[in-house]
Amino acid sequence: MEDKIKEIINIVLEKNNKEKIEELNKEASLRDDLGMDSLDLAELTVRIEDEYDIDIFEDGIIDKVGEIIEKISKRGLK
Amino acid sequence: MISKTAQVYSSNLSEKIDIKDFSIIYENVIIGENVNIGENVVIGRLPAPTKSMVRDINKEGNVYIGENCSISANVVLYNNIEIKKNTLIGDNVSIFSNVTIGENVLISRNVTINSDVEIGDNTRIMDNSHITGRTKIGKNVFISVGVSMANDNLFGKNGYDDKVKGPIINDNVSIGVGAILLPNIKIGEGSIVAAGAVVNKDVPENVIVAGNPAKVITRVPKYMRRK
Repeated sequence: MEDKIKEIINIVLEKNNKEKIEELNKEASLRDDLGMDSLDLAELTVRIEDEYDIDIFEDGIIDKVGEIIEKISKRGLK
Repeated sequence: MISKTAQVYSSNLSEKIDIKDFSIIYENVIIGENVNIGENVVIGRLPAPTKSMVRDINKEGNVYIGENCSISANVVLYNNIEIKKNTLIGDNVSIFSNVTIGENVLISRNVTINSDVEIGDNTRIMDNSHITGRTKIGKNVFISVGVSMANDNLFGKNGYDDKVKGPIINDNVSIGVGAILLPNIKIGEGSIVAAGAVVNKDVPENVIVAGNPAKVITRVPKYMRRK
């Protein structure tokens, strides 16, 4: 699942002319470290929803890569 | 209470009304209960056209202001305007003739609204935005600060003919700060226009558009939906 998350993050970053990530760092901030803005986050959310049928922002705003993984894991998805 | 310096020509005002200093209420104005009118407001003003204006001017029609509305300082409301209950019109707003505004609407400071405009219930238009003539705005729409709109690709060359049309903004749309909406475009229900976008063609429902010219980025995720 983590490889898939990394792939989705990189699709969004690359599409919006931002630097792709080499490693998936769970402590990395989507905004501060990965440089995502509100549009990137919206696109990321939709792509994750398409893949896992889960809204990562359903309980409020999240910021860390690890929080995405945690939300998907909690639903028993891989 | 009606201030001593206010000039009230209308006899169709409810008893529970507050009009502050130096405001003018013309005879074509009907005002409901619990309405607050701020300082230096003009309501029911008739246009005084000159040859520089390229279209016919309507001098008919009353101004109706529903109950519990607040009209802030320095507002100018022309003729043939309906404002439904609980709506707030902020300081320095100018609204030209033939405009209807729904219930629970917020029109914030310095917004200018040209003629032949409809604005639906629960819509909010923030400071310094301009709503061009022949624009239709749905319900529960959010228009951020400094949004501009146009209605004529020929810059008035052929006058105010039938081809002059402003945007149609459907229900639950959000428009980001400083966006520009070009003439005769439709924005589909629930869509979001990002800050600074220049919208030059129709936007489908429930998508986010951004850039110049605006392009679809993604569909609107659940957490950003307005309903």
